[in-house]
Amino acid sequence: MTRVVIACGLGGVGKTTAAAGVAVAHALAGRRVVVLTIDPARRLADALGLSGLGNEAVEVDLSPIGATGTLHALMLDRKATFDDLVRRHGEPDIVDRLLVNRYYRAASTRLSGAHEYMAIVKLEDLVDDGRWDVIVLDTPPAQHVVDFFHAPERMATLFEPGSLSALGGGGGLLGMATRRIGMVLERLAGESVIKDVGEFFRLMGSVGEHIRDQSEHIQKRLRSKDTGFVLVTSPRLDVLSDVEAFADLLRAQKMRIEGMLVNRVVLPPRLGHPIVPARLPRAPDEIEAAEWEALGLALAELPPMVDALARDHAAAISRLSAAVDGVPVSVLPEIPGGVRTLEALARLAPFLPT
Amino acid sequence: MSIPESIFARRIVVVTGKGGVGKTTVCASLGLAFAKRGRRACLVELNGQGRFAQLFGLGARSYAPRAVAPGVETISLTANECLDDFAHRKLKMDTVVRMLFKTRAVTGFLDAVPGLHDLFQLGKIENLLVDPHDDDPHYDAVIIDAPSTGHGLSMLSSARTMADLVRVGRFHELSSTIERTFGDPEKTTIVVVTLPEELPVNETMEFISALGPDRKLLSVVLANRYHAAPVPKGLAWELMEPLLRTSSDPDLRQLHRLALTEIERQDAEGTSVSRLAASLDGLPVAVLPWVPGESRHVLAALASDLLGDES
Ligand SMILES: Nc1ncnc2c1ncn2[C@@H]1O[C@H](COP(=O)(O)OP(=O)(O)OP(=O)(O)O)[C@@H](O)[C@H]1O
Ligand SMILES: Nc1ncnc2c1ncn2[C@@H]1O[C@H](COP(=O)(O)OP(=O)(O)OP(=O)(O)O)[C@@H](O)[C@H]1O
Ligand SMILES: [Mg+2]
Ligand SMILES: [Mg+2]
Repeated sequence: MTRVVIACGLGGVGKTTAAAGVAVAHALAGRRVVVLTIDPARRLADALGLSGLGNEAVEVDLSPIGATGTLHALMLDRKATFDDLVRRHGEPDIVDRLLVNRYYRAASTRLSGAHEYMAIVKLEDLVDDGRWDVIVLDTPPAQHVVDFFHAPERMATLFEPGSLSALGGGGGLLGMATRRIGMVLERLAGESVIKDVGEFFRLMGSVGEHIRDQSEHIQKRLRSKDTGFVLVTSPRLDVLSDVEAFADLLRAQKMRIEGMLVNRVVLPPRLGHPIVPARLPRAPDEIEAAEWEALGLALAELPPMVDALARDHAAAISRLSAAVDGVPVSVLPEIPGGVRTLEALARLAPFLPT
Repeated sequence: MSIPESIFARRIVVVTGKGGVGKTTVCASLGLAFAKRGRRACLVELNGQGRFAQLFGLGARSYAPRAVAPGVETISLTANECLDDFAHRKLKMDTVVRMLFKTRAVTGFLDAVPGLHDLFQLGKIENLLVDPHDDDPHYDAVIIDAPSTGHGLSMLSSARTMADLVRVGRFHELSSTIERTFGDPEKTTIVVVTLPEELPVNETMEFISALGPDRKLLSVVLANRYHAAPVPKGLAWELMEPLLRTSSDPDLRQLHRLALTEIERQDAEGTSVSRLAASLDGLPVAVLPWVPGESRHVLAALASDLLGDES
């Protein structure tokens, strides 16, 4: 059975980095791994050998880190994935007709939940492919962590039968209420967009059906014991309510959380005794006493400053850990200069849940 | 570091940027700075996130304006509330017709046309400034905490896509009005917030080059959470550095590591900001300091900084 690991979290917290790190960690443990990234930073993409490549998995050369497993990586291309979905599940000539539909061109990939949905579609492709022991999925930046889980349902709702495909159809079959609604919408948005939207949903008929049918399957995948979530977060208290909402949702839905990864944590300075200027070396002859003293004062302030920050982080971590009660918590320190090479990813391995 | 004075003459300030860079904090600080300049400001939040309420300890979000500081109020919008308001005030629709907006067919349609949600919320803001009701409060400026889209799409381009898609009807009129107000550099300005780090700077550069016609609205890019130099650089540090590195006292060697990490970060931040500035031919870049402590404290410090107060 293929294991699926999904990295989720608010925007900018380090989901893509964590996803790549977890993938490398599994490869170091000898597994065959694929990571599906979403808009990776250029350097990280380079590190994974993804420059300029698209929607298909490419093998990452792991020889620099001597991993015994294998790693493939790919970048999600939402538009291509959407087109692909339409081609596979639509009527034969549907793509051509959709391509000239203004609504399809302007709106389809921006539908609410579409980004997350396309990531899941691609995930299913990777599962079907069968080449991998572990699939690691990165997720799009979210305003709320729970957004990811509602995306498939939001997509499915859009394709519920009736409502939208009836728009602009003009047929006499429409009931009174629907006609009234049609009139209101026409007054608001004009006839042509209503037509375009209606046509889009009619053309999407069998694709929409597929999307709705997939709902249950996706729910099963997300709840499977082989799927685990890694919640990535910063060591900040203002994300507490979001983390709580996420933990509640996972508990209610009986989904498995592999761990919470608190990223970019500042660690305490670990000094035996406080630094006071008197402990610093004496001023060499070539320097003025005042300048040396100023430097000494600045240096003495450094450890307490780092310590204060480390305490804030530690306090945030303990509140966040309490919010996800019982879930293993890993702490990833702030890496000076960021994470941008395969070697740097490999160094994260011991910190990451595998 | 102070920001261009012209910002205080604008009626709409759109604060945008990637997730977590400090948009909400910067908005709130800008509001305080406006008030200090004697300009009544309203902090507007979209999609009912409740972040200002959280920041100012107001409990739940609210569509009705609330005061957060002298001369500063906040309102939290949702597309549904704005649409209902629009239907009521502008379209003069009665309660019964407005009930239709709550039916599946209509909500489905509204959800299915991306940009409509932005459109209603921008419409409400436009209304608040340009055509307020008697019982509406008066503001000199609104400061908008724009949602981080994550794919560089600005809300304004969203309204434009709408105008393009919807070519007639009341929504079209609405998006044209919005385009006129929000596209006018005399009225509106965009402030981009970023971090002085490599990835956020790259993304900001991409975002700005994709702005197209909206670029003329940009007034400043703020590199937030910029760290001050940890130690005074110069001869003293050059002499101190090897002494600490080779010290027999492990605490001093640890101090050396701490200092180096801080110095390297500061150098990297400096490089990021220079790279950003160089890419923006002439558009001002300002840094906002990293402020330790609680978020309320952070925003007070940033407000002073935005005004160029020495503290
Ligand atoms: N532990 C760390 N130490 C230092 N820098 C880090 C660390 N983790 C991540 N970063 C840096 O933070 C930035 C954001 O990371 P990343 O792209 O992984 O975030 P994300 O959550 O995927 O963002 P988005 O929501 O935009 O997709 C990158 O520049 C990355 O190198
Ligand atoms: N200059 C600063 N110094 C120190 N901390 C800061 C600074 N600016 C913002 N912060 C802190 O950074 C965190 C994120 O800030 P904020 O919520 O304003 O970001 P945002 O861009 O609005 O995030 P989101 O995209 O999630 O809405 C907060 O904890 C805030 O207190
Ligand atoms: Mg990412
Ligand atoms: Mg915010």
